[in-house]
Amino acid sequence: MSYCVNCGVELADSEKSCPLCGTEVINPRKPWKEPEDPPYPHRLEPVLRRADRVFFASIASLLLCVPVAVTLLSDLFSDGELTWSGLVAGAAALLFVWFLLPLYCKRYYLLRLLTLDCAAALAYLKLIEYSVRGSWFLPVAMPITVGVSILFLLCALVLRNHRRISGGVRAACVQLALGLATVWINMVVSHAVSGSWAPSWSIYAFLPLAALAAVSILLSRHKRFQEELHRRLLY
Amino acid sequence: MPDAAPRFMRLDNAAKIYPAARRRNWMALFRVSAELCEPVDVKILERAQARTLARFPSFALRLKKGLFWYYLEHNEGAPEITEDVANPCVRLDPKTNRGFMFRVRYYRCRIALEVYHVLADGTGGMCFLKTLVAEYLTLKYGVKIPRDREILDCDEAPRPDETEDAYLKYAGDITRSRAEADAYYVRGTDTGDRVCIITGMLPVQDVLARARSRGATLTEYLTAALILSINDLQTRTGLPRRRRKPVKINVPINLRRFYPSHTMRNFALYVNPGIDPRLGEYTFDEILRAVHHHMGTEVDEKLLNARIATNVRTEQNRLLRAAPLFLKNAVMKLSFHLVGDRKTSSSISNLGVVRVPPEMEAYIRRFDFILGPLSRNRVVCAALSYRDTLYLNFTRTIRETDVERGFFRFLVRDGLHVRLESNRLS
Repeated sequence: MSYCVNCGVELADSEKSCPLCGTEVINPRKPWKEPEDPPYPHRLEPVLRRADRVFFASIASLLLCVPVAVTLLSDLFSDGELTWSGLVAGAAALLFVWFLLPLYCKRYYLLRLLTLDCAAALAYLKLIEYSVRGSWFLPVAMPITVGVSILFLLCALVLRNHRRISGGVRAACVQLALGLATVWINMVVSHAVSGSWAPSWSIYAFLPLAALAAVSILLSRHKRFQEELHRRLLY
Repeated sequence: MPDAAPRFMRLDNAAKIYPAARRRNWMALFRVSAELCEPVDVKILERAQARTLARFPSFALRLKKGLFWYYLEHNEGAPEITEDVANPCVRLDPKTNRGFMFRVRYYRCRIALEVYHVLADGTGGMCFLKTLVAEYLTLKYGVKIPRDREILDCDEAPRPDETEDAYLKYAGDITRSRAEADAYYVRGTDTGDRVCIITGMLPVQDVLARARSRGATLTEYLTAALILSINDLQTRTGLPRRRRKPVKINVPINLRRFYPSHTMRNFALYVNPGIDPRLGEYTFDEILRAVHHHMGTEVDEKLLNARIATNVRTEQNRLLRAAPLFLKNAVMKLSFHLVGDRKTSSSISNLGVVRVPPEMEAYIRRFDFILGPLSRNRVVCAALSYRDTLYLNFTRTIRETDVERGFFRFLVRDGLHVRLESNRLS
């Protein structure tokens, strides 16, 4: 019989080291050897793993190629040149960057992937502008996309890196970000139309959202209310 | 199939949450096993299983999806008996198990039964195992084993009270809130597909003597030792005292102690004794006193009944009943995620003393009880006593052994002789 010098427990003959602390059994009178009948067999039951994300992403990417190929060919055969099918290909590329590309990554690299999402959206909007011969990309589409993306990124970074932030404060962050995004969209559109940066209609969206954010923060500090809400919802 | 066995069955009150809570790689399983004196003969075990299954209609079931609820449907045949594995209680896939929600495994002299909690609790599972082993011994050695309510007679037809939903039968009309604070939980490095088991074997009389000398029961003593170990772990994290969380242990209570039920299905509730480390440092005796008083007040027929009533009232809520299954599932999944095992730091389930007739005892060396890993609490403990030994099985799905180490080292310091074995997957 062997004892762990560290934990003081007796170890069964099957134990080469203490299962509690890993200290190896050194018994000069009885050196350890692989037992003939260990308490458990060696065979491991396989555990179902999560679906293979890379495999799923590859299949989805291939499937995404089908409508792109069909539209490109139809467009090419109908009048001998590529015109409208570029929009479909662009949309497919956008879907790929937004939804499938993250599946290829081992973890979600927030800053890099969101920057890439924003760049892809800008590229697609530029493609649409080019296709319809418009001139709204620089004055409207780009500032709105970049502004909203920055707000979204800030919101995501704050919520991800500060895990101790309560649910109420999280909700307030999202509500404030939504309010600010509305104001920014209003300012950009207003500047493009009338040359003035002054916000107008967005105030009616921003004020209730800001009030809602304040209420969320106040409620998140009211422990008893939270408990009551928790009890009503979950019990 | 005997007349007393219904073709369809509703899930009992406690089982309703489990299908919604299960995940791709997790479901609530537990395992009871018996170690015989001679190697197991699989052919005879198969015959014994077929006879036992006919006597336990609440095990011969498959889980089906209805429009509003999951339900259980009679399943013909029997699951395949397979060789045991090193990582017990890994998720059971009914599709590859002929639709059954339990499995029987063998390894040298051991017969092990792993059961999905939808079917039964530990008491029901142990009754099935003892009957299976009794049938096996009768078929193999021709031993005549006296049958009672714990080792059922497979020549008899099943009794209706063995498949009843005892929660519904005994629920009162006064409910009680279940709200309580979240508890500290043990973090660690995930072991993947490795379910690590450490078994501690102790002389039961010595443990009882230690517990009684402090005016406590064996379960209270073990619970206090587990709280002490987890609390030490939380202290070592260096968290300021004011920000520490309560350390509470989930202790299942067998309701058959309070109600004359013979159901083989779930009929247990739990209490969560613990301490709040924000209030100051606790000695072992203080923890034991807190556990003892908590159990003393909470393990009371009237209070338990009010909690059964709360659970039954939730099930009978008209809004919930009218909601389609997919909605119910989403709500229950969210509820399990937000409440589930967040209220406790670990679990200790004591099945008590396992008694078998002397005719059977001569053939059985040992019994074991193992809890499958919980959803969030990665270290849990199950206990039972057989002959003069207390078997404590710790299940762990993290690499770090701090909880077990603190627990067993305390028992050693308290003068108990602890013998350890493991499945060597650490």
